[in-house]
Amino acid sequence: MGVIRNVFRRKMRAFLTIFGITIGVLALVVMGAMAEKLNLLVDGGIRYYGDKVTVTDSGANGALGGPLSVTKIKELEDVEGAARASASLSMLLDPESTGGTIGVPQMITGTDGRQRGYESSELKCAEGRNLQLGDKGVVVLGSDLATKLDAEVGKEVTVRGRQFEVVGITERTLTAPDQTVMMSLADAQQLYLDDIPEAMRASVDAADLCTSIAVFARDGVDPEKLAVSIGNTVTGITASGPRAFEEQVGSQMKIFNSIIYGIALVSLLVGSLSVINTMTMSVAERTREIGIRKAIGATHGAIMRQFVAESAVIGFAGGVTGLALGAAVVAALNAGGAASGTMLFMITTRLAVGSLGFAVLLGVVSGIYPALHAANLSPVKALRYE
Amino acid sequence: MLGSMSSYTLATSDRHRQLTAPTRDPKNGSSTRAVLTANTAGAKAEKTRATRMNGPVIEVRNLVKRYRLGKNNHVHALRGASLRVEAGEMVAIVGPSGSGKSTMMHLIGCLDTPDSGDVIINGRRTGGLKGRELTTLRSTEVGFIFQGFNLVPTMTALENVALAAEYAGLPRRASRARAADLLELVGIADRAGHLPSELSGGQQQRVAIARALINRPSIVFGDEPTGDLDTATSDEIISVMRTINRETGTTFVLVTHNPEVAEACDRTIRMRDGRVEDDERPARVATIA
Repeated sequence: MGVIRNVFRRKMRAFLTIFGITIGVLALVVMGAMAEKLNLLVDGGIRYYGDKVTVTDSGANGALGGPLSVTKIKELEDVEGAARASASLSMLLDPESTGGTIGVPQMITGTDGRQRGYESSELKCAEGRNLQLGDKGVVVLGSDLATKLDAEVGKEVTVRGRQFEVVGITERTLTAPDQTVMMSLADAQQLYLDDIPEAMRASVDAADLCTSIAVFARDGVDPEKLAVSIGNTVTGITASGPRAFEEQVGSQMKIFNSIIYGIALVSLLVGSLSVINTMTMSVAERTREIGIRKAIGATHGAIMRQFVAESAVIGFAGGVTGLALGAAVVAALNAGGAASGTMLFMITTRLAVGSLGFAVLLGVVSGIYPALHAANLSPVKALRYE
Repeated sequence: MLGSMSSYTLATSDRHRQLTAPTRDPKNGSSTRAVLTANTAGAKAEKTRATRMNGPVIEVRNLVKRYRLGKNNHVHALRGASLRVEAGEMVAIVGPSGSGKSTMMHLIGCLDTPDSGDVIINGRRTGGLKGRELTTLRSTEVGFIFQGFNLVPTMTALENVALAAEYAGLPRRASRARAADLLELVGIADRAGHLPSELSGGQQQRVAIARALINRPSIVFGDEPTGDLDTATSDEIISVMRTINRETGTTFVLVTHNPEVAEACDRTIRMRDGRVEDDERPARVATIA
């Protein structure tokens, strides 16, 4: 209690100093929340790509490649070490969207069902059921999309102008599947065809279309090696092992993370300079009090502890308010983004505890110099100070 | 006053009576004194008490202290001052500004160290003690009362008094209990929960006296203890100190400009130019020792 009373002796100054830390923590929390969410998406991607080789048309790059022929499946499964190949067709949910958003775009993915039993992490449904072979005219919705479309199991939804029955809603994964409509490959091929200019439709064999083929390795076969041998034996395709995704996205994430945390840390450092300033002034103003404390028996350590504790309280107060404000800002931004289905921020426990802990640590560190100065004051000089 | 004094004794003495009972001297008349001299550490208390019985509580020999104001510019605060204070005395140190009386008090009170000469407190030479040992000596052997703005402004009267005991290592609860007894002793138990800004100057000085006494020191130093007070309040404070001195045998050394303070004391030491000029001992001192 005494510590808190001392901090608020000069209310305006205390609030301003705390506010300095608050802004730093706010920056750390909001930007960290974005980094956390993106990291989670990437982790999800790494897990998704972790056990398979992704085959796309050699002209394409990324998952949304040019069309690939389903007939390649036979060829791919013949490659030494391959256990199973499964075709999927992915497209943007909204054909007008450019796909240039941050985070994960809303997607339609049609799969042929051949991957079942080979995926290491299969999606589970929170409600309803998963897709089955032979399904037609039905979809399974990712949890975010289900919320956005206000969909329920058993009801109809409109996807790219066609009606589908919702048979399942997946569990929340906090990554790509939350934003995905899953359907059979045939249904997806139909939607794809709808989108092609009429003049060209005749030349396209819809039943042959897919955008990527996932190849699962046999037990004991390294997917990276499988990717290499597929690349060597099958023509007209690009085969990427799990590491390709990690390298491509992971390194970008590292840069992104350092920029984001760098900015937040700089603002926190500025805040901590103001704590040092405040504590130094506070020590100067209380010189006589320090003299009296020493005269009545305060040890070096007792004076140190007193001022470091006050500084820690400033850090803690700034941390708590910054965290609260950050949570409010994140909630507001997410609410704004919810309309377009992109929840870009997420405050994890690790981020919350870390920000608060860092603010307290910063307070303590900022307090050390002023506290040392106070503790080293000569009692006689301090008592003479007016 | 006397009534509350003995209640303080009864309230706090059980543990300390055990510590001091074997050496209690009925002729010296001081179970109260035994209570106030017993320290938190029992062994130290025994030692303190033993030495106190045998010699002067303060002995100062040829103290020299210079303060550096700037390059080649020193002030000679003390130029070989000596004095002796016997246990249980109440002594005033008077003298013009710059005579070295405050420096003398700081040196005896272990707030500072002399350039040369000896300070001996209860038979213990303070020269050569390290900072931490001086702090311990300060918190257990001496108490201080300063002029005005003496208390920590963000702490209540009770917390201010207890603080000194906490610094000496007494747990918080025990410190507060003892602080409450002492506030009663100085007659302001009803103001225990008030901040210094809510107390009158006289009440603040009473809190400071209680704080000075809480670690049961053998010596209490006052630096202009009545400095900021009006005459009536000043008289009250003098009387509180005088009573405590008589009842407990705690030695008081008061640096003062106030002739009334000097008059109330057993003895007046006059200082001038860093030396003890005159050491006057009124007749009635005989009845004290």
